[in-house]
Amino acid sequence: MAEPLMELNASLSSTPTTYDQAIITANVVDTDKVIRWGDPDSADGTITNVTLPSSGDIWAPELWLEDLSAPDVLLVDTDEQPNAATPKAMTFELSSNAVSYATAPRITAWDSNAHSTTTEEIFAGTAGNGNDPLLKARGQTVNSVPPQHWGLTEQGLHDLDGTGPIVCGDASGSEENAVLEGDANYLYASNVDINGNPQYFALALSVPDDATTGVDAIDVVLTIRYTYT
Amino acid sequence: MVCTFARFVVHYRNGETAVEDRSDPHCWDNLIKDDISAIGVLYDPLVLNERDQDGKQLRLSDIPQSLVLKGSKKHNFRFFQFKTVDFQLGASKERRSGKHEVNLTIGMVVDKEGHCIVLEAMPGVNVKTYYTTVHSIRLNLDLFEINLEEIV
Repeated sequence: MAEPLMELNASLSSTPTTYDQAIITANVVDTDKVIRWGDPDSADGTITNVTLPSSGDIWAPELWLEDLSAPDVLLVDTDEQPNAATPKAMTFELSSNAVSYATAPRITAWDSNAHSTTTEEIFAGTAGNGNDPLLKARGQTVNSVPPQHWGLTEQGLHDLDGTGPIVCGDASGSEENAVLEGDANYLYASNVDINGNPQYFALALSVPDDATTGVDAIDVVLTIRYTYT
Repeated sequence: MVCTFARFVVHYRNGETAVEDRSDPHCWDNLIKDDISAIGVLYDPLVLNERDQDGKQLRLSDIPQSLVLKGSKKHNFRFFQFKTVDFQLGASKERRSGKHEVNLTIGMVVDKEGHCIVLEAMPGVNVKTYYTTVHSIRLNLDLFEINLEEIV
């Protein structure tokens, strides 16, 4: 059968109704676009690294869609994800004209192009945070803002550890929260065929006070894997 | 890279090479009888002995006994095939956003418990085979119209 055409778009709206920031269009990845975390003083062309908290854990304040050939786009503003009362946490929509899948599409992260290891600190965590993975994700099947702290306490979300593959669910509970860590922990779509069943997911980066500075420890690849016959 | 499932470069021990469609499960029941020495996964039906972008040929050499199925006179095991693709979003040189073909997977369900033999070809490495279950690789059985009740 023909290869399904995947679409990945991001929304800028605090009440997500439109997803007009194209990342993958008809199976073509915009190679100039990168998802990047930044501090509140970031701006187009000068996305600054996240400042470590003096103690405890914080959420990386801003989520940017960095564009190497056009102005960068701020997806999530300061403190809007995921700990504010009105979080702009619903940012990505994954859909396709899927013809047929063997397995449900999954969302995960790896160290590098090899898509085979998860040894970076973003996966291993730090001694200070109890070695919990830093990259959290929430997958929904409805286009709505998830509950505050994704249905957990704020510290509970910081402490979220891998429990294996998590299926995207509705927006009401906390069962659809996952960490993204290779083949061990990931989000997967609610339907094997997502044609007509778009999946919505949000990302949050927990930053403990003893995180390694610089980008190497958290420079990973976000991966959307799908199969087709 | 365009891949053609179920079509292989089949190398016979007498030195002959042919492109064959082995999507029919019957074809997998007598690899030794056919005196086949190696099977190469075919990416382009027009190019024999094709190599991937790293210069390695995707070939299953020394046909393993695990691929020789015996005792099934009805030949009613089921065949499946799929491709796996990753979209990658990243920044640095070795993590640049793009599309990556992960592997080509074909296999056969060999019993009603869902056990199957998988032949998997990954760009840049040789083909490998292994036993698993349709459940562990999260196969959608209905998609392939696999009727496990018919399998003996």
